[in-house]
Amino acid sequence: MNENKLRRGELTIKAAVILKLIGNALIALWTALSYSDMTDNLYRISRGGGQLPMIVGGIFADTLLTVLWLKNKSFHTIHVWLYILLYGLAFIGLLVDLMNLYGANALGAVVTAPILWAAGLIPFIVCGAGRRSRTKAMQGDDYGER
Amino acid sequence: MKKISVSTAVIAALIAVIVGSSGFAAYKYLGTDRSMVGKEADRLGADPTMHSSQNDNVNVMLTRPADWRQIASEKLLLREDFAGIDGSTATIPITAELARQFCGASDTLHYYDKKNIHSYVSHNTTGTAYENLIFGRSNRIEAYDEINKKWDNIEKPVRLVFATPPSEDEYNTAKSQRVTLEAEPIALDGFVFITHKDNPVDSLTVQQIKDIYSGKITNWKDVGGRDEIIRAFQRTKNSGSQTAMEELVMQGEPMAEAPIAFVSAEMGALVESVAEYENESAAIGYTYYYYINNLYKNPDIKVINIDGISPENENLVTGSYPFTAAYYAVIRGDEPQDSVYRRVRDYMLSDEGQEIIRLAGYCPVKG
Repeated sequence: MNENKLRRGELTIKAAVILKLIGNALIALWTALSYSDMTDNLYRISRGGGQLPMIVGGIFADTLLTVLWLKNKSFHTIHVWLYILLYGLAFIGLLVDLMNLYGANALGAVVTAPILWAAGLIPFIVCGAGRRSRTKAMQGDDYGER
Repeated sequence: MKKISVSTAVIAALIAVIVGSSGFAAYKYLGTDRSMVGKEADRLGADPTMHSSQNDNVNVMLTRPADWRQIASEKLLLREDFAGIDGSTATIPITAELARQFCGASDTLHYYDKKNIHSYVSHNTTGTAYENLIFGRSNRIEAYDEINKKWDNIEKPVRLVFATPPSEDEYNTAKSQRVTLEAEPIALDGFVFITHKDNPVDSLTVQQIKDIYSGKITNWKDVGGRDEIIRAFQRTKNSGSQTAMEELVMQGEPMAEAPIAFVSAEMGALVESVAEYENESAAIGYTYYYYINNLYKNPDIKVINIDGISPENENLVTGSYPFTAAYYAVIRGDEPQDSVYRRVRDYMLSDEGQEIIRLAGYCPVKG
């Protein structure tokens, strides 16, 4: 087992976790800013309300899953599939809601939101790279070291 | 004591930010007073952050017609430009329609609707609007400040007035201030006489109207009604309705002095007075057809035909209704050639502008 590569792999995973949590923190701060305005909140309530519990629940679940990447690779795998299959629409919907309230037109929000969602895949990719590096290090599969 | 790595500390700090922000958002959202939902702007309490309706002479919501469509092909006015527009009560819907066409204003009255129509329109009645234009005084509208998250005022000197034409007094005042007024007619409306719905008189001749208001006819029985003294309500001098009454109807014939109780400063007050006068069917007053039909509805009022002719649009266009008035777009002569308000004034006379006039429910001056 190559200890250096193992450590590098784990550091890469940690970096990915931190990167993901920075993104979550930004989303949480943006949400806090948006919901701090009573006028906006009344507008949301007049439209049926109910978005905040889902938003907060989503952020908490996402944060928890991210931290669990450090514990077991399965959480990363599950999280990737959730992000691609389930998060897509919810994330885009959240961004459209936040952007619309700041005067962005609907078309601008719908175009920008998927771009931001795609950018959110970066931590997953980095973590994936870290996992592969760690796996190779643990298997001693590094061309010549047996 | 176990040493905490830098990465662990960073992760913990980020989780704290996430939890704290979400908690703050939840606290603010759950603390919102839900009883405010659905409340109209002009019925809110005295919260200084809220705004109230600026147009109290209008008792129905300014809504777009069922066949509303976007007509304006270019955006001539920005939100803040609407502070420079003033006018009469009867022309409020013109400014409202411009707000819809140029700024996408909505029709709700809810104060949390940042584009609600009432926040674009601030008409101070004819006399005050002309004073504002002549003396360069400011008008004020309200807009939502996205940065500071509150409603705020936008103030600008009045540069464009929508109203009936300036009276002789107003022209003289302008002259004394070395100001010229450029007025262009943009819409037609019927100047109408109203009475209580229980009054059996449905039509009067032009001469009968003149005789009533000059004091020659004082009893309804002389014009086919009941044996009741006629209570003739008037408006204050230099109001749009009073100017129209003097110039369009009386045409130089002096009006009888009205008791102070029969003089109303605002159109809405005159309508209410005629409707609620204690002798009910004895009252008569005057206003504009568009106003009484669309802006200030009162079920106890009816419009009197003149010479048997009703003030419908087709009768205004053909001229068969004798008291056809025009609404004007008025700017100062020193308004710069490239100014947005001069452009809007000219735009109102274009095909698009006249279509907007029609959409707003008025009779266009052209076709």
